[in-house]
Amino acid sequence: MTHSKKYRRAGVTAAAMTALALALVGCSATGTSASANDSASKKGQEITVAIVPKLLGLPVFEANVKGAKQVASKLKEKIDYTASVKASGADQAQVIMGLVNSNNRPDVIAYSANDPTSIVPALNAATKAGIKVIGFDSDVTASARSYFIQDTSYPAMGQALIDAVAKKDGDTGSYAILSSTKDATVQNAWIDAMKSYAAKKYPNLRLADIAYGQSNQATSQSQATNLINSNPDLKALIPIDGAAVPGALAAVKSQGAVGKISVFGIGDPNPNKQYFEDGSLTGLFLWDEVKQGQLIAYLARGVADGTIKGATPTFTAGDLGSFTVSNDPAKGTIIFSKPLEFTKDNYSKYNF
Amino acid sequence: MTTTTIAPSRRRLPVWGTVLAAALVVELMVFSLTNTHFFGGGAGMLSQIELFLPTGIVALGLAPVILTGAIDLSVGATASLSSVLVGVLILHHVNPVLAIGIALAVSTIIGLVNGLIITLFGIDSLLVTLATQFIASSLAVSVAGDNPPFGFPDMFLALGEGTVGPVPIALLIFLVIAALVMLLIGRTGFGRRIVLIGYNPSAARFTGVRVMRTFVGVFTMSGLVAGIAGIVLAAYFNAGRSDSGMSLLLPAITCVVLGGVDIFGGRGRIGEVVLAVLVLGYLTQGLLNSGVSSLTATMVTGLLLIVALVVKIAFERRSGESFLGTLRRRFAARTGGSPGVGRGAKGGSEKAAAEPRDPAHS
Repeated sequence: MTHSKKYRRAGVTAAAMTALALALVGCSATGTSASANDSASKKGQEITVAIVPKLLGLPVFEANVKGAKQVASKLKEKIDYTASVKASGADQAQVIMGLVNSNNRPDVIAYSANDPTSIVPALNAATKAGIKVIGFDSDVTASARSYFIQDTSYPAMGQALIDAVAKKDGDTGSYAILSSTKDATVQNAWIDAMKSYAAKKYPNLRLADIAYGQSNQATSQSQATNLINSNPDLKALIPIDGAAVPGALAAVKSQGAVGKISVFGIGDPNPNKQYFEDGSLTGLFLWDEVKQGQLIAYLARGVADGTIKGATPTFTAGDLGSFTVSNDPAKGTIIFSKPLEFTKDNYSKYNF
Repeated sequence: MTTTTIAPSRRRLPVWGTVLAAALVVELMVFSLTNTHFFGGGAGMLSQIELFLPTGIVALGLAPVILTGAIDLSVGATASLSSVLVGVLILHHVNPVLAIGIALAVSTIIGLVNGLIITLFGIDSLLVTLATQFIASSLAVSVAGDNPPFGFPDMFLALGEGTVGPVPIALLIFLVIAALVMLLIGRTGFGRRIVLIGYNPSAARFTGVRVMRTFVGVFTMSGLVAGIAGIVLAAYFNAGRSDSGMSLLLPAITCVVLGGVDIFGGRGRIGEVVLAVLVLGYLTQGLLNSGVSSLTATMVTGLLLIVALVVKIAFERRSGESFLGTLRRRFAARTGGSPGVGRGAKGGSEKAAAEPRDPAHS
């Protein structure tokens, strides 16, 4: 090996190490002060609440965070909004492990889980480290958290959708549901609620079929097209996940069925503005995401202070009013609100 | 240019391995110093990459495939299927050991089928494994059904979250597989054939190597190892999910490439892949622990990969050659090629002629 080659190799090694050192600079930037973590009451002290939704950048979760921040200063809370780039349970688990191992551990972690199991080990580690764990929107196994804020009660959502269909299209004929995946817990609960309510209240309103769009707009569209073509008497299409709504609407439009088939979905108004405008979207149901975010902040304060603990039957969350803790459908469930309907006339009032 | 000189094999420290080892040491030191919960008395550090180990295991099965110049895109889906299968079987009161055996057998069969289709029909491994990926993940979805299996006995969970002393069992599984694959590639005829096929498939065929048999063996092994990753996943998450393995594929390929394995085959060391797994695993978790957002951590991973590949090419510069010249030499060899078995045949003899390399380099 010649001298020049040797030096060059050493130079390259040095370059590689420098690059790595640069990559690591980000970590040394954070402080080294360790926060004391005991499970004692935090009454009166400032607490950090980490909100970890399914992924970054989804308008509904941004609305949750906005709501939490609105009441944060009043509740002496610091809101830390962090999540993975992809909607993946494993990535979310990594993010939560990162919070548990960080120098500044949060006092409360509020998650919306990508799936019921992937983040359970990470949440257990959080609880072990003295962090209070609460959930909202999408739950995990109940043993891994203290309380869970359910968006709305499943029967109420099912009832609202079916009533809307019957009111618009009459109580005969058929409707079809477009869901995300076969094992999506919340969607399945809505489907069951719709089925049982329709069977009881409108026996002549028939569920034609259920299709699954895999949370993908293109797949949703082709599944919705199938539903429309294989059920000539279809009166209403009910897409019940974020990608299913635009997918169903695209199918209704491309099949020239606007006005003939009404679309009642579950989703947030902002991404669907244009469909309200062009008349293809009949109605959309959700809940007030901003106020739900406020409830997250109130609940976080309560569990950190120890004022909400165990089987507390009810608690008051400031202006939001009083909430009841129930064991249905799972231990420690708090139902946030009744479904909120967005229509052509009111959608512009909500910004999420 | 026209002569294929084989450089005499010298015992020297593998350069890339040294860089990776140094990077790992720096990384561990920086994180231990800046983060109060990272070191955890030494033992805590071992559990930091628990979440990353299934990816590492998949990478160990993938590395021999990539060494032959082929690719296996079905590993993630195979891991998912294995995790779902083992879960469903255990919940149906099948003995856990038997359940693991069945899941591994199915994974191995997927790998075997991959290898057979690729060699018998001469179809590119990228296409075949893309197809089997869809099949395996659909199977996983249908086996999982409406209620994916969760809630397994402690004995099974130990595989994912148990420890022997301070060492996580999953880490031991990873290290054992690593040692076996390392021996296989470095010390056996099978391993030498793998490298030779990746280095120059035509030469391999002319020297009497049973190329097809080696391919089938490599893919079968990849399926088996992916199946093991699926079992560890199921045990760690206490659940079998039809999508759990899909997120393993791209990080696993990243580990193999960062570990210095040539994506076109013929060159690389398993030991360096093991180091790359540790470097990437600790980097991701360490950055997240330091309060860096997941966005930044992902970006840093991408940057690191690019930097690593550029630096690695710089190492391969011949004396007197410009950096761009190295790039041109390396990529000139990729164009053209003769049809044949898998991706391993691509670039065929031209590659070897254009780029004399040290086949003992693995």
